[in-house]
Amino acid sequence: MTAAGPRPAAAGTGAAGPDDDRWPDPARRRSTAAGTVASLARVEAGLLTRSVVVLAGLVAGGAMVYHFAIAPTRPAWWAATWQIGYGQQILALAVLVAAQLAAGRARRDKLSELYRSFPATARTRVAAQLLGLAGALPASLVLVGGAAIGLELSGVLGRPGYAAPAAGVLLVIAAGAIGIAVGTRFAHPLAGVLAAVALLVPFSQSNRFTDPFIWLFPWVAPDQLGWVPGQLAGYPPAAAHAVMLAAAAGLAGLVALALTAGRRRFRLGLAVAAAAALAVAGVAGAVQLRPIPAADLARLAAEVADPASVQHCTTTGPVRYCLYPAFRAELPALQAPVRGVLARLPQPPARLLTIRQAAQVDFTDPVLTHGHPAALRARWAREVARAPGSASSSSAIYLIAGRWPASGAGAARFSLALAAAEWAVGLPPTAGAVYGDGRAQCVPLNQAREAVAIWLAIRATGAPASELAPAGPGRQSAVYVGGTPVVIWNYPGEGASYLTSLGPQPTQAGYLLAEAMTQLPARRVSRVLDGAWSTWLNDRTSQARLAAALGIPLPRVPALPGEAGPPPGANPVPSSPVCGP
Amino acid sequence: MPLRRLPALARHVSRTMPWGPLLAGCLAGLVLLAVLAYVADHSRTPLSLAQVRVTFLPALAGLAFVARAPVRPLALAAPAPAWVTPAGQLLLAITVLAVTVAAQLGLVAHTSPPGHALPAIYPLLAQLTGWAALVAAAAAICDRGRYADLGGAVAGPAGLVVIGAGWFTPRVSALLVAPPATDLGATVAWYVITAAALAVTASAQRDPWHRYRLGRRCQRRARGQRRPGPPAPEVS
Amino acid sequence: MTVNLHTSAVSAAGLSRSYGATRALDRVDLALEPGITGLLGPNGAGKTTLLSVLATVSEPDAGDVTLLGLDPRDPAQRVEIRRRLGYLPQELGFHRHFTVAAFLDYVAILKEITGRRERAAEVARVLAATGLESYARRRIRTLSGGMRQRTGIAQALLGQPGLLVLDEPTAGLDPEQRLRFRELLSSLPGDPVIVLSTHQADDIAAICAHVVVLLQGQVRFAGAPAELAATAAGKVWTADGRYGRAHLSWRGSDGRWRHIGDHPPEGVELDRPTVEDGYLLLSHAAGSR
Repeated sequence: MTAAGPRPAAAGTGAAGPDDDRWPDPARRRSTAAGTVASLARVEAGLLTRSVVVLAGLVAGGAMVYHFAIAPTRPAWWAATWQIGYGQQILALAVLVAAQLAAGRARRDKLSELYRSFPATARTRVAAQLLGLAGALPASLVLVGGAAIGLELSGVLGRPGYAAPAAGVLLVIAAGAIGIAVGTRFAHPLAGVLAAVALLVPFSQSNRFTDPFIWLFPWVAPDQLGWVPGQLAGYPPAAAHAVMLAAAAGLAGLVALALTAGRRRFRLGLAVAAAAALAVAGVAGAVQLRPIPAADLARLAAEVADPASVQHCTTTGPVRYCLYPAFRAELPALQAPVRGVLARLPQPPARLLTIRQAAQVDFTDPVLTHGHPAALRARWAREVARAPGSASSSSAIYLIAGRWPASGAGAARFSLALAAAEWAVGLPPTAGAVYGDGRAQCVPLNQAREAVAIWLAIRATGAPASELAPAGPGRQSAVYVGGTPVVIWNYPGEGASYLTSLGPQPTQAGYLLAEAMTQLPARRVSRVLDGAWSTWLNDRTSQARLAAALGIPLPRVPALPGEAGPPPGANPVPSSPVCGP
Repeated sequence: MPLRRLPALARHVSRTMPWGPLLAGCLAGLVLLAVLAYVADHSRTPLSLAQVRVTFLPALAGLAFVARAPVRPLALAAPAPAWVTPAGQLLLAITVLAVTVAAQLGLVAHTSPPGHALPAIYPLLAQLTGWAALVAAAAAICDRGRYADLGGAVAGPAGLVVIGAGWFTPRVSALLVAPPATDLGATVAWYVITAAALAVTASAQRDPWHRYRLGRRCQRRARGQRRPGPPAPEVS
Repeated sequence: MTVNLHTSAVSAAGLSRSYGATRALDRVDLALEPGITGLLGPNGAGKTTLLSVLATVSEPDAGDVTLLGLDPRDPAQRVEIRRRLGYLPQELGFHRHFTVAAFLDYVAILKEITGRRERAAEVARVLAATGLESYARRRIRTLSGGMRQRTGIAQALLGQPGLLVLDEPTAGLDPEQRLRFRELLSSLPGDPVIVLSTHQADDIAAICAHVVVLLQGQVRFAGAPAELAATAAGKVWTADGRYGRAHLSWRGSDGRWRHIGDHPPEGVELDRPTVEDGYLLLSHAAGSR
């Protein structure tokens, strides 16, 4: 198509000739703003989905979920649905950074001037970026789905809820909206990183906040989440938290739009919408701060104080296992080490051993019991203080609910096996000793039955020697018995709080003899034990006598460095009692 | 010695230094710690060194924007090594970070009840030094790579991810976090990491011609040639 | 000069714009018709400022301007102008991690070309027009400066604009690409109004029907390139040696000296003036005021 009129054709070029079909008539495009927003949103969503930052956040979030929800203890859905949110929080921070980078892209890449010449306004672009946050959904859903699969493979207890995972997805969207709001105002990449760190700090430090107001922060980590023995309605308040996060996302989006809004009427509309979002957030916040009903807490206190009233018991031989209903799937894992001990006994014990789960819930935690009178909280605290597991018992072992590990359970199995073996040889499996309260565990000083118990536990669990090896010279610990230091042995799982309280304090002498017994053929040891079982169970039968019966020298315990006994003038060290018959 | 140029360049190093991101990061960390201190006052649980670690992260994010060679193509064509300016800027940044940590420790001490002694801080200082070195190394590597235009936006999160991975990996944290590591052991480990990270930073900042020299050396070796030496003296 | 704002495709009357104490545009009057208008001027003359006003990117401090019969002061009409506008800024950044095609696709959406097929066709068209088809999937950060400039030209052509504002479009282009660019501009459909600023006087001479010379924020010449060249008639000559009183002298590839000056000496061999000669004389005259 040639230029018509008096204007000359440009020198040096041919006039546009018969190739006009290269240039069809310009199509009239009267696209609506919605169409432009939708098209841009698709592009932005695609960029966000493929963003390296988001993918890195997904990987880090998955690692977070594994670390908190899957790896440490056998997961339970009532805690895990919220713990998946820890990973969502990490993904959300990555989405925040990516969204901030996207929102500031035009200014950072020096395209602001060009963009101002386009019919699509900055408001249109921001709206498209907000809609484009849908591009973060695949990563969030993959995280939820992957976590669910991992949890199921780990034998997760209970049934999943849906409010917490949904809230986690909303957390990701809200963080992205915040990132867009930040990037609309501050294009520098550091702004997004600082905003992400500002959100990270309350999450990582949430255990310092003892107010129930921590629920108003995005996705905090409540201390007692995994300790309640079953689903507790309203803890955590996931549904209300989801609504609050949705309102936060809306508010951040409105702020981002307001930063690009020109006309007063539009700004007024945004202000009204922002007020509505704030109101919704306020209501959701208030709902989150609603106290858990007193009846529910009373029921929880009763379940903790008197677990027998709700637990299901299964008796297998001389052992009765009593577990909270939600934990019944753990029964086979608990039976295995105990069976291993019982199988090696020359005769089944005449007494009954009760292995019972006990819950440890702190009713003075204001995050759990806020809104209730102090007198009522004190009453509940007194009630749970009478829970079984804190007193000494010769026929019961108390496992802390929610602490049994899902995998790598070697230390837990050994702890349980040792407790069962101690019961089998007549030592009290639950001494009622709690660290730091002044009560001391009894010490089976020079008692053959101690070595027998340790040998039974090693045989039952097959724990490798590398995990059992005692501390080397110079790093040993000791307790005092009658003023004489006795070198002790810290066994796998001793400090891991699988049991509510520990049994007797094992000695290094007892372990060394048991370890020497494992070097002998099992049949030979069994023959010796079977031949005089009641003798070996006697608290006065010495380890030397057992060693002689086995035909092995009594292992020597490396001496403690320094002088025996406390230094002169020092405060007297509490003396541990010797375990009696 | 290239570092002789540093005093003459000092004014320009200081003017091209990205003070904004660094100071913003340090101030953000101090503000966060002040908020935590306020909460600690009310909840009667004093701050610990763990809070110093967490609130040092914004300063690290700001540091990630520092280790860059301004006008890199021009700097590479000049006789002064291109790493002189980033080295000077890192030295300035270390000063700012040190002041930040001192202020943070002061805040922690302020919330501690009278008579309550803080644990030894030398392992903490070693750890923060190691973190800063890791982030500087990440920034130097990013400055050479395809994400140079994004600068600290990539280096910062990348450095923090490396730090987080080390923190949550049991075998690594057993060496670097006391307990179970001892204070002295953790300190030594962190300074080893710092030295390694600084070596990586230096390597990332050096002239790219080293690749050419390396290539030539490999080619000569492959051909079995010896380096040409001085001509043999004539014997009459 | 009186400009009738309602008859010309692009017109400005009394346009002024200042940046602090610097007066970038000083009562500029302009009337542009469909066709190619070149904008000549030294650095700091106000070309970029004028083009940014014509591109509705910045607003004038004073004066009136109509673009394609629409008033950019009205928000709705401003959006309408932008729907028919193609703009290439002097300093154009890029989303370096985008591919060429992705960047053009993104800009097409910003130009409200939302139909997917239509947009793909439009992107393919501008890629072909600028010779970038084989680079469509390359990331912009891997392109040379000249190819990025062509990408910038391509985005300006999206949507077949009625008003094309190009600020130094040939910067960074190799000679062949400059010629292809001339061909491209000459064969655009729809007879758009094209305003381009350039330092290359031969580009002006080759393709521009109209040239505006901007000096110190004011229009010093507006007319055909031949008229601009004619202002230097009788003032351009060649000699074997240098003439000290010429405004400008340089030695050509044949070893002889070419001079531009108001008073050529007697008997010298006068040369046919070019657009560049006319511009240089004008610039010298403005500078000596």
